[in-house]
Amino acid sequence: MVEFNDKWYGWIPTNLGKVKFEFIDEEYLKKQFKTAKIQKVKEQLTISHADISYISDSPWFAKLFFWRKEYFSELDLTVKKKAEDFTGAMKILYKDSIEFFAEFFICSNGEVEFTLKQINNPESIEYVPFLESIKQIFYVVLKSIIHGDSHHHQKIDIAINITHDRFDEKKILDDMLFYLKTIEKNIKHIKNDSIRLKQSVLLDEVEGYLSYIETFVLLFEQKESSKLEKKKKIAQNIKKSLQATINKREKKHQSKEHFKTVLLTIAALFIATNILINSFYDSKEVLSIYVNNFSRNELFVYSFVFWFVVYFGFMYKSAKSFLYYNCYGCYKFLRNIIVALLGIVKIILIFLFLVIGIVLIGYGVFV
Amino acid sequence: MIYILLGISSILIAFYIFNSLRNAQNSFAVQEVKRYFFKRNKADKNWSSNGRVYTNGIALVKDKTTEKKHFIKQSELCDIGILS
Repeated sequence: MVEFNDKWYGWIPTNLGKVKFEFIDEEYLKKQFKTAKIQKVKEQLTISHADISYISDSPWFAKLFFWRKEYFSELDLTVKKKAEDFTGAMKILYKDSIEFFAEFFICSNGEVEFTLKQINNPESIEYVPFLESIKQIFYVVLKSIIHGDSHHHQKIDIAINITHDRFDEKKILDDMLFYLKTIEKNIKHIKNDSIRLKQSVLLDEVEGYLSYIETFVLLFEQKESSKLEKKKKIAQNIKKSLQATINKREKKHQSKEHFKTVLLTIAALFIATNILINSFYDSKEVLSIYVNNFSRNELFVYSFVFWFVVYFGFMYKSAKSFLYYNCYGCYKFLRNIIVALLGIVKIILIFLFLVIGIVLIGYGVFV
Repeated sequence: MIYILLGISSILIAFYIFNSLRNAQNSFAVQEVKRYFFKRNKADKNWSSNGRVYTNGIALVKDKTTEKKHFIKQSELCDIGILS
């Protein structure tokens, strides 16, 4: 066991301007940490044995491999309400291995101070580097519990980072601005269709993110402006955040509706085609010569295949965009597989052309 | 003569593909694919996101050869913009 008294700081986003114990959603936490024991009583929240394996960035298939075993982490946490502020303790533990224990204090404005107290069983692993990353994990995990991340999934994102020595408002704001700039740059550089849906929703997400930045500025700005005016602005920010969420949901809904509308149109066209074809069947029209060459069942199947291909062709780009938005992990895995396969195909082609070249030259020289 | 010319053309095509492969191997996208499939997204000190949005991770793994546990620092390029 090694004892510490190391401090670091962070900010728990709140567009209300105050972190409220009442807003810690027990049901949300139970969904997030399915196997954990969670208990929220009047002024205390206790979480034990919560699986936080999401802090590992290993791809899903690498977590399954047994040849190089990965150890996953668990969380024990206690938060107590103390007037307007919170105090608490957290333990991040790797089973039968190292454990990190820290205490924290959360001010009502979201400012959080951590103190690393001890590391148990450090000898169980080769060395303990990356203490910075461990500190960031403490912050991200606590932020996701108190704030209930709705703008991004629970990973160690780079949107808001911890600060050392003191709570550094300027650095936190700089990190948030840098993150917004990175988003803008990424969008400008990617020009394919797959990000179409994501792009349309992104502006709303950024709008929600901006409302947090505005509240942050209002909370930590040195300028003494009217307190009542500040509260009014905070109310406007909450409205902005809500508007962004509603817009985002509306766009997702519209995208699903688009799939249904096109499907219904294609179904109607399929029925109309079959009625038309059947009207020619056994009639004296010129077209019946062609139609009578097939059975009714065959015509039904052919028209179905035809309209299915039309539907797929029409919806291909929308489906790709939908997959990118809803199943990014799956999209990324498939894209990486394609890049890897293309590399293998190129290697095979190199050998093939070399062999053909040598054989042809040999044939030309000797024959 | 025609066979010799065709043979030389084939070898030139092979070199052309080899060069494109070598360039691709050095490209950021291919390096990322290698990190994704073979290195558990391990990020060393020289790793840069090339201005892309990414997440940081940390994993405790057991080394296959030394049988010892150790932490690896990870970074994963992710979906553009704020993750949802």
